[in-house]
Amino acid sequence: MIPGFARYAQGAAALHVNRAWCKGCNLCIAACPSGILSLDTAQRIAVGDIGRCIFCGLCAVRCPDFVFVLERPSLGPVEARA
Amino acid sequence: MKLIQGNEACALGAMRAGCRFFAGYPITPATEIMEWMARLLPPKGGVFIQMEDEIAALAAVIGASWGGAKAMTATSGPGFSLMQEHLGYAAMTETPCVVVDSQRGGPSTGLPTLPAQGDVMQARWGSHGDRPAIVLTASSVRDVYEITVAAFNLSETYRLPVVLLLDALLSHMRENVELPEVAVVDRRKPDSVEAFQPFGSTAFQAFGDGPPLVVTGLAHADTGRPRASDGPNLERMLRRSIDRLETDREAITRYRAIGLDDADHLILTYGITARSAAGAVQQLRADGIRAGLLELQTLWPFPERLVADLASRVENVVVPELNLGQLVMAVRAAVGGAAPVRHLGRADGRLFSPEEIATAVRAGAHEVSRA
Amino acid sequence: MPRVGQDLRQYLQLDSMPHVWCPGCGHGQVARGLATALDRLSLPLDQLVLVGGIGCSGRTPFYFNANAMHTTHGRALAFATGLKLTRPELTVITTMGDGDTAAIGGNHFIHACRRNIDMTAIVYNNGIYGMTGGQQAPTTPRGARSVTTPLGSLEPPFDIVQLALAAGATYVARSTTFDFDELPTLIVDAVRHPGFAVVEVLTQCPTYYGRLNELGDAVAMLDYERDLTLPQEAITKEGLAGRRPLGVFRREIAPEYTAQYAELCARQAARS
Repeated sequence: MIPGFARYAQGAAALHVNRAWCKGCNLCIAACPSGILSLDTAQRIAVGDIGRCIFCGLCAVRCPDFVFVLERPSLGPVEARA
Repeated sequence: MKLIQGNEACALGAMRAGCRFFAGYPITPATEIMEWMARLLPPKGGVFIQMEDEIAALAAVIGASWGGAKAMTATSGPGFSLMQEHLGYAAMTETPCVVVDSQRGGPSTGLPTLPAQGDVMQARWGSHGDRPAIVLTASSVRDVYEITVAAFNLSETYRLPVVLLLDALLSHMRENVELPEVAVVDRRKPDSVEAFQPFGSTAFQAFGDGPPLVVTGLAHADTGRPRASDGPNLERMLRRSIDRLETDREAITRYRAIGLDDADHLILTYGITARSAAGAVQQLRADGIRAGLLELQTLWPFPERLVADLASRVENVVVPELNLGQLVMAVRAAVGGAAPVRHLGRADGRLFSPEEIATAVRAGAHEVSRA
Repeated sequence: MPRVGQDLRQYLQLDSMPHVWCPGCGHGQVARGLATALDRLSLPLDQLVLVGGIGCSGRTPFYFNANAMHTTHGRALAFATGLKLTRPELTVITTMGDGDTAAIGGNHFIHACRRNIDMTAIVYNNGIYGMTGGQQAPTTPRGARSVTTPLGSLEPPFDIVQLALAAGATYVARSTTFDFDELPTLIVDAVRHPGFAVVEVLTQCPTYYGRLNELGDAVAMLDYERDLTLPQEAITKEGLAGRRPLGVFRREIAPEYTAQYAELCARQAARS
C-alpha cells in the first residue's frame, strides 16, 4: 500500500494510482495499449478493467504528475530498451 | 608600520575576517581589491574567480555563502547598480556577504577616476522592496582594514548583506598603517541541524551540512518553503529583520567623535570628507569657535537618536558630502528642526577643503548669532 | 538496470505535490526524467543541490527532496558557480528555461559552458515564456505565435545545442519529453560527465505555445515533438534534413575547473 494511492491488483502485480495528483491531461489514456484508462466525471483518472493491464508502464512514463507506480514482483522490474 | 593602499587594506581586512571566496569584475577604482584577493586567497585554499559581469559576481558570492564560505565582492557605481537585484536577494534569503562599493563620480560612466559619495541612498534603497540595510564607510586606510572586518562581522551576526562604501581617493591612497588587532565573528552553526529553521535565525547551515535546505527569493516560511501569496507572513519576516537591527542600533552604530563634548556647532559627515572636516574643526577651534565633528562610519541604519541628541545641544549643523544632497536628508529628518542644517554638496570629483567647511560653519554661526 | 513505472516518491517533496505545472505540461515529464536519473545515480540527496532560475522550470527544485536554491531570472548558473567552487564535492544541477538560459541568462550560460566547471545544466526548452503568460522566447520558431508576437515571430531562434557547443561545453545533448528513456539516460550521462554538461530538453507547453499555435493538447504535442525530431544518426542515414537532431553532440574530457583550481592552491601552499 502506498499512502494516497489506490491499488488495483492483478494477481501478485498491481497498479497504484494517485487520483489526487491527476490533472486530466489524457497522456496516459492515449498511451495505454489496453485502453483501460479513462477520465471520470471530475476529469481525473479512472482505471477500468485491471485484468486487461499488461503492466507495460507507459502510463507511468508518460504521466507528468507521478500518478502511477507499478508493482510487478513476480516478473521483476520492467526494463526499457536502453 | 607599512605603507598600504586603501584597496589593499580592504583585501587584507577581508582575509583577516576569514573571507574565503571572492568573485568580482574589473571596475575602476575597485579593481585592486579583486587583484589582491586573487593573490591572497589561493594560498589559504580560498576561492577566487573573476566572473563575466557584476550581476554574476554577486550571484556567485551568494552561492558561495550558501556553501558555507564568508564571501565578498567589490565594485563601483555602474557595477553597484547592476548588483541591486542580488542585494535584495541576499537580504530576502538572509545571506551573509559583503559588497564593497568604491564610489566614483556618477551618474552613469561619470568620472571613473574621481571620488564621490553619490551612492549613499542607493546603498540603502537601490534594491526594490522594503529591506533592512547595513551600510558602513571609512575615511582612512587603517579604518578600511578595521571596518572591512566589521562588515563581515555584522553580516554574520545579522545574516544580511553589508555594503561598505569607499571612494576613488581612499581606494588608491597609501598611508603608513599599523594594522590593528581585530575581533572576528565566526559563522554560527546551529546547535541541532535536525530542529533547525534556517530563516529568522542567526545560526547558519550551509548546503550539504545537514538535512536538505530550501532557499528562495520568493516570500517564504521560516522553513524556507515558498509562500508566494502569503503577504502577512512576508511582512512579519521583514519587520523581524528590521526590528533586530533596531534593537541593536547602538551596537551597530560606529562613529568617531571629535570635540563633541562642548561643541556649539556640529559638522556631521562621513568617509573621505571627514578628513577635511577634522581639519576644519582644528581651524575653527584655533579661532575660538567650538566646533565638533561627528564622523559616521555606520550610515545605515541611520543613528537618528544620536544625531537628534547632538542637534539639541548645538546651534547649527553643517553636513558636507560629495554629492548633491543624500545623507543630509536623513540628518534633517533626525534633527527635526532642533537646529538649522546647512548642506555643503558637490559632484565635481573634488574634495572639500578644510577651509570650505570651516567657512560654512562660520556662516552658520554668524547667522545664528544674528538671530 | 533501467526500469519504468518504479516508485520515485523518495526523490519528491511529497507535501508540495501535486506540482504547480499545467495539465499535460512537459516539465512534469522532465521532472520524472530527473527523478529517474537520480534513481539510477544513487546520489545522497543531501549532497545534491538543484539550482533553479525563474520560470516554470525554475520551480523544479521545490518538488525534490534535495537541496533547493531558487535564484533570480537567468542567473542560476552564476549562483551555482559560486556554490560549486566552494563545495566541489556537492553535485550541482541547474534547472532553467529557454528564456532563462538564452535571453536574460545568455551571458552566464556561455561563460559556464566555457569554464568547464563540473555541473549539469538542464535546459527546459518549450519555445515560450510560460509562467508570465506566453511571451516570445529566443527559441520561439520564426513565424510562431506568442502573446508578444501575435502575428508570428520575425526572429530566427537560437539553437541551444549549437550555442553550448560554440561556447565550449564539453558535454552537450538534446532530448525531448517524448523520449522517456533516453532523457534519464542522458541526464545520468551528463551528471557523471566530469565537466560542464548541457542537456537541452524539448518540452511541451500546451497552455500557451500549443494553444496559440493550434498544436492541440499534450497528446498531440508529443506527436508533434516526435515528428519534429530524430536521433542524429538516423538523420544522417535517412537524409531527413529539417528534423531537429537528438542525442549526444559532444562528449570531451578537458581540464575541469575545480580540479585545476585545487591544484593551483596546492602548488601555492607548497611554495609558501
